[in-house]
Amino acid sequence: MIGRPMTILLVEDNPDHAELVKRNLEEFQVANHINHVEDGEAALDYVYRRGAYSDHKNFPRPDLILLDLRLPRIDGLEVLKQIKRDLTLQAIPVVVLTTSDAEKDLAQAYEYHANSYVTKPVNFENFSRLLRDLGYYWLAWNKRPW
Amino acid sequence: MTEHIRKKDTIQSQIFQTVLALLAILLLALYILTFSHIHQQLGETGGIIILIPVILSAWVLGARGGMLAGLIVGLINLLLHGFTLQHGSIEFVSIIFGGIIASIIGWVTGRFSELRISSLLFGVDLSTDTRWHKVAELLRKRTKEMAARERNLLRTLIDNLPDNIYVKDDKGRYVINNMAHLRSIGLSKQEEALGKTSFDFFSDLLAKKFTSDEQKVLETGEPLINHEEEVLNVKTGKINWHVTTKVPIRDNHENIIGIVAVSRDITERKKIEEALKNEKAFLDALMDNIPDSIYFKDRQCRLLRMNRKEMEDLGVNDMSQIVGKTDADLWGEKFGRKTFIDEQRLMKSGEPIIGLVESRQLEGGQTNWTWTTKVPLRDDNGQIVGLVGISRGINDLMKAQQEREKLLANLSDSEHKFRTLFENLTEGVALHEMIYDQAGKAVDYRILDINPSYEKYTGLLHKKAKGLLGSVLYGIESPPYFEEFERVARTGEPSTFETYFLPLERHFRIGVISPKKGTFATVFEDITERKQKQKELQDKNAELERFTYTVSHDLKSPLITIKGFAGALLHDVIAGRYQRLESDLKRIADAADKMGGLLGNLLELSRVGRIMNPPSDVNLIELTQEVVGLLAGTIAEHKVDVVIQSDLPMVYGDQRRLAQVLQNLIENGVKFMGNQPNPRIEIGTRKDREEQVIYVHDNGIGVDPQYHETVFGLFNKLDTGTHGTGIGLALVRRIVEIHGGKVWVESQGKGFGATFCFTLSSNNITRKE
Repeated sequence: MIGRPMTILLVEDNPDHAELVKRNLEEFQVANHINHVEDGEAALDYVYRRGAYSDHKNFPRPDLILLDLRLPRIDGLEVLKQIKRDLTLQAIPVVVLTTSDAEKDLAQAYEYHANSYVTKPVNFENFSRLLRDLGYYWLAWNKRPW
Repeated sequence: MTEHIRKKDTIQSQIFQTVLALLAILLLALYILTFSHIHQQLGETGGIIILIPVILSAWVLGARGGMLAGLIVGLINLLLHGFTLQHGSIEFVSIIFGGIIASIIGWVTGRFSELRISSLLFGVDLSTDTRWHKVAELLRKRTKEMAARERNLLRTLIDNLPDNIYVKDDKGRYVINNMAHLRSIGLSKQEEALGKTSFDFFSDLLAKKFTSDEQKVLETGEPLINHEEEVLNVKTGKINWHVTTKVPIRDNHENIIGIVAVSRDITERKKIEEALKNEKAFLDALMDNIPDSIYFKDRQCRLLRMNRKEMEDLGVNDMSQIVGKTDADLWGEKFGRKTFIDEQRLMKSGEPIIGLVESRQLEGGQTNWTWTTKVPLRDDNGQIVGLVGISRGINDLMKAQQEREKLLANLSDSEHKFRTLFENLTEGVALHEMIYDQAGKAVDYRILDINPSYEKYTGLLHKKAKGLLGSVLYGIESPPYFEEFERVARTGEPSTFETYFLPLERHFRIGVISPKKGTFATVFEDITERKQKQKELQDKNAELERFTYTVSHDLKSPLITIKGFAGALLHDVIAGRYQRLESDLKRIADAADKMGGLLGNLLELSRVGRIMNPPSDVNLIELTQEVVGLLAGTIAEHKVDVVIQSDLPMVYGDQRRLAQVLQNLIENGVKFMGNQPNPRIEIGTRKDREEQVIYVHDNGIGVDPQYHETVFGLFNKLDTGTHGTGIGLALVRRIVEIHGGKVWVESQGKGFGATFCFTLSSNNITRKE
């Protein structure tokens, strides 16, 4: 928390939602960098530093990934699966942040070793509090080996 | 020696006779000289004649006879003449003297005859062996010979008789025994038996009995006739049976001096008799103890004899009560007539009746069942004289039989039911038996039976299938599902599985059961259609799931936006920050619009299939022009060049829905134009293998081949940057499918443009102008 800037990778296809997430996280100043990608392909490109995301300085390895499931091109679950299957990436906490409360998605996400699964609350106050808590928990309270 | 003398006799008989004659003449002369003077009355002839009997007597009777004859003659002479003569007279003395001389002549002559003096004196037999003497001798000899011959004959006769013949004296001693008897008492020669008694040959007991029997005969004179007795055969040591007749022998004075016995060995006969007796006893025992009725009848079918069972059946104790009766008498007219006809036929033809099952009504109304065999009885000449019958009561058997028949009838009834079921089942059924090798390992199976549905499913006819081996049917060593079949046939545990059967290219649900160890039946059902329906249902379910999922997600999504920004807005307003107000409000409005659009589309989608407008002839050219007109604003905005081919067909269908199809496809084309400098959309038609294909072609961004299928899925958006609800293409597909057609996209990938094609069922296109 101290000394090193924290980076969150936000994978969210809905720009409005992304804006809401960013505003809340910024407000509580839990992260220094929030990098937003809109689909699964971009998310994987980011974590593998491919294409537009090869610049390490602007796109550092994330300390937390907030992952929506319903994504164009490559589905969020597929992104999760690939990250958790990769030994170099699996340590990154991935929090599924989605509109879906389908049990199938929930079960599948945990099967793919999601670190947490939360649904976006419709109520704004709840939305704000969730993101603040998430930020504090994963970036402040939670101990990481790096 | 005797022979020799006899010869001499004959040779010398001539000389002897001559000498005898000379002597006779000499004596005669002397006699005449002595008595001629006193024999004047008689004459010399008379004196000589008197002498003749003396000489003859002497010849015949010998010396004493001759002397006696001489004396007699002398005496007769004296009696005849002596009383007339003076005593002491010369005549009287000469008579006496003459008598003495005659006696001497008689004696000498006889002596000669007796002693054969001549042969003693002269070595020649000049004896008294005269013809008479010889005759007497011969007669004696003959008699002796005859006696001997008769004795021999008798002996031969009795010796050759098989019966034992023996004579005993009054002391019980054997006098004569024939060979048979000698043998029977262990001897071979008559001499060995002479003087012996029964005690020498038989046990005391037996000998005593014989002796007492014989004593009775000796005492009473009553013969013992055909008396049967046990006799020990000395040679074999076995007791034999004899029948003996003992008759007393009397002398001339009627005194009983012995017995003659004739005894015959009847052991064999006895044995046969005994055997017969035994056999009869056996037969009687058999007949009386056998649980079957046995009876004998004569030619007129009258009872002759029967066993105890038959008597019991008839309720009589005494056979004589029913002998001579017929079946009609005993069992009633009806039954009697039937058996009479049967039996008469049997006795006429000689053919036995075997195992005939008969029934007769008893008084109580019950039916008495019998199992009867009758065979003809023949006499020694082979003539049929009657019959013997044996009958067994089979009421229990018949009852059991009837029950079995009833059971069988039921069984065949149920068999019939099952057969009907089998043949009318819609499922294909085949019965198989496993084939095992010598080690008991299942190697193949054979079809035993199949039902018509099986024929229908497989095209394999019953007559061809029956007996066919699985390996032959499929042309492979291990027929399909063999392990499973083998397991069921072995364990009897039924099994069911679904399978896609490649040879028939159909899905089957196969049930396997084992009606009997080593056999199995397969019951299979063609589930291809069900499978297809299932697949369709699964697809529908998946779509529904996606729909609900998406609805919850996509409807929630703008809601989150609205509520989120409303909250943020409120926050800003309270904090007096107004710089983001406008943009936030726009976000809220857009989200609300999106929600509204989504809801509208969803409504539309739900209507498709549910609400159809009546089909009509549709001119696609006109319809397309109409749609393009509706979209004129958008088209103009994107500067798209829209071309409508003039050969678009007339179709038959829901005009409004078809307009929606065209609208969605054209809109899509416009939407995904990308950075194309010369955007162009072409609506046209082409023939693909007899199929009329209508297409909407654009030169926009194209569709990556991996998304060719998913683009038609509900809410599947490929690009977040574009507007849309993800319902359009799903709606298109829905409408096309309802019209019996297909929809697909052709695109070589990103940047190559896309051609969305659809067909309508042939029905919908036949109405082309």
